[in-house]
Amino acid sequence: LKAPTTFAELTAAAKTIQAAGKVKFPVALPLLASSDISTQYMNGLLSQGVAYTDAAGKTAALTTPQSEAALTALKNLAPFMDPQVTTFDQPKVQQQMYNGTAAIAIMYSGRMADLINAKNSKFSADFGFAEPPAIKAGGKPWGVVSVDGWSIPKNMKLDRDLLFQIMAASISAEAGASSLPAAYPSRKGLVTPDKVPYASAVQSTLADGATTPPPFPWVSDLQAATRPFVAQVITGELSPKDAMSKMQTAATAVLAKVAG
Amino acid sequence: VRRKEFLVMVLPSVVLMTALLAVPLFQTVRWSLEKVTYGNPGQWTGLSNYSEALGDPRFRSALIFTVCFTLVAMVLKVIIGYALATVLNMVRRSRPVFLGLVLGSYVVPTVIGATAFSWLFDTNFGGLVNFFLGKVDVGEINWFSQTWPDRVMLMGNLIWHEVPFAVLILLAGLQGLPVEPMEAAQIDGASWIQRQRFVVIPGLRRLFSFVALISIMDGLRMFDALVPLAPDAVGLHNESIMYYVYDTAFREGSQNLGLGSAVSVLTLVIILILLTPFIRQTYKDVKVP
Repeated sequence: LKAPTTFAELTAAAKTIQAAGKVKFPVALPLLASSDISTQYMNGLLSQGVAYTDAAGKTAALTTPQSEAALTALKNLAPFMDPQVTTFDQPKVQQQMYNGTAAIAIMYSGRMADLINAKNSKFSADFGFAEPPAIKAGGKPWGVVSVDGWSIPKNMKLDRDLLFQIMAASISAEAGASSLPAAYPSRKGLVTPDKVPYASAVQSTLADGATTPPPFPWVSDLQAATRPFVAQVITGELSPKDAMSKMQTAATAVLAKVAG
Repeated sequence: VRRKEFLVMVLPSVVLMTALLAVPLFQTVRWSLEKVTYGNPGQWTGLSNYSEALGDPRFRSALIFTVCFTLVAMVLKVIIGYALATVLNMVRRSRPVFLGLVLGSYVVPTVIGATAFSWLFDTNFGGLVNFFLGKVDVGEINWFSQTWPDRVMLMGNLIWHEVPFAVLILLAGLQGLPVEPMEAAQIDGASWIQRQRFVVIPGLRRLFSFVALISIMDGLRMFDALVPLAPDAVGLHNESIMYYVYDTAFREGSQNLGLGSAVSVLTLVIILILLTPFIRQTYKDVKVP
């Protein structure tokens, strides 16, 4: 098997692994219905160049063909994931990989350092890393650039020079070097395959257009209001079309509240 | 002089109660009537936070689940606590050992105990319970993604964690009961069950009320155990009121502090309603005739 580049290839690979009989549920995704599931759905949207809302962030845009494609991609993986997948967060996905009860996972690169730690898994030397698949051939990868940054309240009363120095220290060469391989530092020159085994996977994901989520402060409220319906698509309670309609209604209500 | 002494003795308590209870309560009630975001003064919105909470089916579901779960847990805690206390009261020599074992689960922080408890049911982390159920050919149970198995697991954890408190209180009560009525009942030929029914249980009435009262307050504030034990609490309708507050008011940059405050005020009202019978009973008991 080769690392899948599309969701169709991922499904085919999962089918092959399942048929081999060694791994019952080969695919592991963090689809925790109270949190991570929104990130995965958003990955699907962003990989197709759209988001929860229009570009201005004012109107919900969850009934688009891209939204349906993202939901369908997740739904199609359901037979290859643990029946309790909507309760799995990143640590549980990691644990599945440590145990060998899953064979393929999509996770944040920061979590991958734990996979290659021999203390965590007898398979630590066997893991390979690749760019996540795209929904369609030639599309952007099913991934997102999550940037750990600083939130500074506008009424902050601390010494601004001191705060600036602390922030500068956090992205210094020393801080970046000591964060390896657990994090992908902002100084890209520090990242080499000998220090970070998943470096090339991250670099190709970035090069192929993985992007950051829109920075609107109401995104978390949109996600909270819509995530139960995404979960219901995976559990088979809702079709993607029905879920999209409910998500659009819920998201519109959130945006109306924000506007009000 | 006595008046001055009284003031000196009472003042620290009044200051503490004001700082820790009255001020936060006032602030919560105020915020419940405002739209509040971080770093900005609140904007008056009247009762809109209350109408939003009461009109939200998710809040109503959380309310029903929390109240029902609390009442069932209260009954179970009293019954199991009483049974264990009675057994421990019969043990003489090794009582401290058994008491120490029973209290072990009570001193573990809730979220840590609940996480360890969840591993018993999680095949990813060993899943000892699943292992034994597999041995007796019970079909696969999805403890975390099915409503009733998840509730059973939640209740099991609550009982494991909180029954020791009931045991401790009721054991102290059993040891403090006068011996004469028991001896008299024995001489009159009362069976063990009759002695429990007509002597012991009435003697422990106030302590049962106390355990029930604490149990109700604990149940309505249930939050941290849900994180490891009910990761899909919303989808399974196993969400508690406090989890709803956290999820809607604070989580991941959400800023619905007004809504969260309104739900907190509603919770206070529910606590008062549920505790009214116990408070009335306590008032009657301590009232000077």
